Amino acid sequence: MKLCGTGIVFSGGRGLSALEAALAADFAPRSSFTVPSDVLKDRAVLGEMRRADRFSKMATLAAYDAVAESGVPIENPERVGVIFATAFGPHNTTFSFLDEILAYGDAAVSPTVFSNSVHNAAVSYISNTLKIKGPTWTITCFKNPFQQALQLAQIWLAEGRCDQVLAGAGDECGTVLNYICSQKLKIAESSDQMRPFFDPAGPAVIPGELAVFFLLSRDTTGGIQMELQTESSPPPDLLLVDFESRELDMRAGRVPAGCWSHRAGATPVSQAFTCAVAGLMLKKKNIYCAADMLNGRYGTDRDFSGGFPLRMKCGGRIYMQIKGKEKR
Amino acid sequence: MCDPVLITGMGVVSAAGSGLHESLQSMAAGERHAGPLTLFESPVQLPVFEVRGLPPRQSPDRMRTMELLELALAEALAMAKLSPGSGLRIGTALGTTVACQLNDLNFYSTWRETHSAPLDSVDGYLRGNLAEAVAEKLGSDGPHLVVVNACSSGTDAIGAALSWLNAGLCDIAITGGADELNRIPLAGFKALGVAGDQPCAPFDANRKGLNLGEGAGVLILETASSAARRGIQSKLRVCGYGSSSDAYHLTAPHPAGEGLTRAIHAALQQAGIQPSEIAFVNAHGTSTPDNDLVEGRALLKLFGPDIKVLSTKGYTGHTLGAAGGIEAVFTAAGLSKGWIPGSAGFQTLDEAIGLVPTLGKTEISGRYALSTSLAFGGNNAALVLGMEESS
Repeated sequence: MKLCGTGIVFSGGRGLSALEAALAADFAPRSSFTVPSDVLKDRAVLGEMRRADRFSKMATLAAYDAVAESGVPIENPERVGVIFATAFGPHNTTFSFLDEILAYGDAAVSPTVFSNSVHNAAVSYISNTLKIKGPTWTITCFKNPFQQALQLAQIWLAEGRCDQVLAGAGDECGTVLNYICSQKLKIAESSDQMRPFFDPAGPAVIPGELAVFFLLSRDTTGGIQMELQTESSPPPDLLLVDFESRELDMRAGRVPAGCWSHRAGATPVSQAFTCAVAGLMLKKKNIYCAADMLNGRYGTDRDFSGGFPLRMKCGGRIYMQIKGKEKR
Repeated sequence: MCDPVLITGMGVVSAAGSGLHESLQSMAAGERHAGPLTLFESPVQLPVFEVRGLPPRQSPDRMRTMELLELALAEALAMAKLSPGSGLRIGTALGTTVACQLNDLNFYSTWRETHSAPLDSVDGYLRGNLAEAVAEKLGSDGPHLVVVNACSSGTDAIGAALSWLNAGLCDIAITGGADELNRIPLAGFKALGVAGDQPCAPFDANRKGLNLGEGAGVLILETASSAARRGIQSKLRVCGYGSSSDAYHLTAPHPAGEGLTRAIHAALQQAGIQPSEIAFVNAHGTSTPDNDLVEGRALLKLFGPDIKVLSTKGYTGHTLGAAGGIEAVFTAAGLSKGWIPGSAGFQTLDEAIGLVPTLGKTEISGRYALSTSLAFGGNNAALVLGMEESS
């Protein structure tokens, strides 16, 4: 699948320029990874979504930006699909609905809050905003949710169900989920105290929130390609390890590896963030090597000055590479 | 040419019955098991379709949805002669709505008061991803996902399974949907004004709204070559699936049924058949004024006035994420048995729709049937099931 456009909303801001700035910046300790509220203010895109929650707004902006970044407007909306992966969905709105029940009783709750509390509300807003009329799906898993979305996108394109698919993932922070995380995980006091799962001292994380979308097309010949690894896939030049995915394939140190996902905090959909990082590095032909990444605590000491890595494996089985003219 | 995808196992549980045989018997007799709410306390007192006589929970923090799923799964696995640890390439695609939400009111109210709460129900939720739980039970490492497209989730999950099998990602797929009757959506649907205070009456002129139900419907889909290797025979097939979005409104369907029509066309196209080859339609038919008007008109426009249409929600209630799975099982059973039940609850023609669904047990002939789902959020899904002709 050809990666035609990427949209991202995360604690560092919105869009690839914000991602690039966050990756290029020196590492500064921080205590949270929530999306600033001003990032979600965009009347042009979200004007019809006054009643939508943060979760839907994050997802819609990321989807909108993925299309915009491709540089080509959607021509045939009936041939475009959406697959959005999430682990926890809009749980803050679910809890708001529970607040309504507790405050007013079951028979006097807000239909609007209920409508926004269902998992597929975000994708409904996306299809309404972008006028997409193909299959528009929301899926949920706790293990590799984005990889499942990407795999299905690959099949939809291959079987001709769609000509383009917006595949993405998102999850949000919240006080209840923070409490659950505090009981289930070791929470770091600040981001410079975060430790990946492979740290000998054990993992320590700060929950994060983000939404990422990729606009994908069927073209398998050129540009930045995104696919699931097969037995015939050549070995990667660089492994991008998810901070908290508990999956490490360092191939006994033969393949350089690094971890970038902790720049967005810990989320169940970090794999999507990692793919956005890989896509940006392939696009810019630059390996962002802040002190906490490559050459530092969480990455390889490999020097890439002799040749840019063309093939990147992004946790799980997701594989990204440059093909065709883009190589040069 | 893709290897045909067979239905080698089916299991179902709903208010209509536990197991396919019991469900078909009760529907053939026109029995309706709607009643008052007994599962939990709620000031919202509306007719519901509860599953009675469910075995005691295996553990208190286990979701009821999982218990319903396990019942249907056991029946389907037995029919398909599949057992855990079979070493086969198995994928799992299931639909739900309730099981994906962390909406335990006891946990939340305790947390709200004290900012601390026992995590038993959270643990149940984290272990309750239907696809991950089933994959773990079967020892399968194939593709797995839970579709959460509201009321079309079960039908869409079957569509995902079909795509996986056609793409060669697995040889067998466990698919369908499961959902429990739950206090939160009951309050939500009441607030939306779509829940009726009378037993539901799909397509009837005097329909007052939907009744919530619960249950699970599971299908074992398998490539013909895998079934042949295992010595399993089945004439039932999944032939086509289509999906579309209205891009119209968060909660209301497109008034002209434009998205539903496209989903049906896509399913027919994948099946390689014409509308005239459809023997009957198991419609979404929720009994809400909007859904039945839009769906009924669209079906008549596509298939003509002689098409046989029923909604089995008159026997099961609206089981949300389970509906697509349950209705696919009933649709396949209709093709296999050569009859479909009457569309329970219908009495009076709605002139605005012009559709008279099946009035009683109805014989059908033909090789193909359609099951449709419309969902909150503007999703539409259609599934074409087929039956191989007897040689």
